[in-house]
Amino acid sequence: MQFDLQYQLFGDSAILVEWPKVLSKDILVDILAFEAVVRQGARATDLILAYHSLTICFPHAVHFSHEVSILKELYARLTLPSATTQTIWEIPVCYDQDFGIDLREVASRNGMEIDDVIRLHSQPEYLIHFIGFQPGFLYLSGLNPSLHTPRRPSPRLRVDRGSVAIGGQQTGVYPSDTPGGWNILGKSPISFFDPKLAEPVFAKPGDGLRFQSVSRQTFLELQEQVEQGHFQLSRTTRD
Amino acid sequence: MDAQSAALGNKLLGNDADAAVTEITFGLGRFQFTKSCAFSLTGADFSATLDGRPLKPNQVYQAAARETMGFGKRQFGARVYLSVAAGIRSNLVLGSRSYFPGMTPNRLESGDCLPIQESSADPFDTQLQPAIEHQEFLSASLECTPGPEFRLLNLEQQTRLFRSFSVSVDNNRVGYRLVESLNNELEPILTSAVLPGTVQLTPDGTLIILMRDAPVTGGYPRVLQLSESAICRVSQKIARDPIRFQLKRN
Repeated sequence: MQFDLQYQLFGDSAILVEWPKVLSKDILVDILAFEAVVRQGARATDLILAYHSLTICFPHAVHFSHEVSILKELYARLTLPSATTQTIWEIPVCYDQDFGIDLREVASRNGMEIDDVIRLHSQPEYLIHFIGFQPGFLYLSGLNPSLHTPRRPSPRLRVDRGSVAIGGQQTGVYPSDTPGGWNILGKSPISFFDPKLAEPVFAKPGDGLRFQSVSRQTFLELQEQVEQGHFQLSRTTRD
Repeated sequence: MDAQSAALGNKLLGNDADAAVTEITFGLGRFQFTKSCAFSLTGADFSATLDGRPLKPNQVYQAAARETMGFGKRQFGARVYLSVAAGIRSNLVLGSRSYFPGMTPNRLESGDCLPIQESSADPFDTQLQPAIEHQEFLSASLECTPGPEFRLLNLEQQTRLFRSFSVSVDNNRVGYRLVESLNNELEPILTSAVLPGTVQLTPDGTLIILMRDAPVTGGYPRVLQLSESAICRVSQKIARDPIRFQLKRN
């Protein structure tokens, strides 16, 4: 399927390509296919994926109309890959209020109990769209609409690594200590980014993910396993 | 942060453009050379000395083993770049020799030893390298282009955006918040790419200039995009310094 793409100059040396502003698997598949052909062209120094956009960074100031005509031609000839195997990751999360410092607020804003927030958040299978914000931050779709909660008016100066949070219609896990503006529901003991590994991030765009609610006791045990390097993340695959 | 000053240091020493340098914020640090070594200081001026002898920015000097370089009174700027011949041989992580929280071991601490090579200043001709004009560091003007969400701003916001602002105390390698805010009712956007130099507008009207350690994506409207040299200029600002965005003429 071909979408109506919008091209825009972003600074002097980047082009922002935008798909329709919705979270959809069809758009994800289309962006990934386009990213792959642009990467093959090898003229870009960096490609930044997001839900409905691909930002192409060049090593020099770009001649906008010239580059866009090349991109449009690449897109017109784009073929989508045939179906592949999907990996689904199980992510343990402790939704204890000591970690989930915004659980109460998310519950009251959405007119529900804290247990409902936890149940609705750990129920769906989420789709990983891209890795952004910071190394290892997985951007997901599939959040139950009754949990959509606006970002905080001003970001917190520090959010703990492993914090599981909701921002607008999105949910995700902070991979490192960082400033951040999302509402925090809990904490995961696992590591989302390790620069020493050949693949620093275990997951990739297109994979699935589930949050599994664990007790404080289990959280502490898993945390120790992670620190000692014994922890094995569970996953399943689907054709 | 100030990539132009860092690049100038490498150029003065005949280094590769991507050789690692040390960024020293507010002249906080004293360095004893372990070997005889050619070095230069670029960027801000914090009245540097080598064993008490005054040093000027943008010059190549020769330090003898055990000589100590330190800083004094701030003249201008915020970040000094110490470059040594052949670059600082810190560990490569994901293709970078830089420190980054959560990715490399701790930031430089008192007593740490930076790996350098023995070198001599003789082969370099420092006269050939143009320095960055001193005036450039003091100017409030920051060259920029409209960001992807600029057109969502109303006329009042667009007008206010090009009057004066000042840097707040919340400024670091990730971003610089500005003191003055805009009246804002713009909603956050669906998360999309941000770049160093992207100016974001938060729901409470605060403007944040993203800097070199910024995230790669963000959810606040991107109202302006600074040019590469404007990013370098901002990184030499300190809290309460005035700034003014200036649209680049095409």
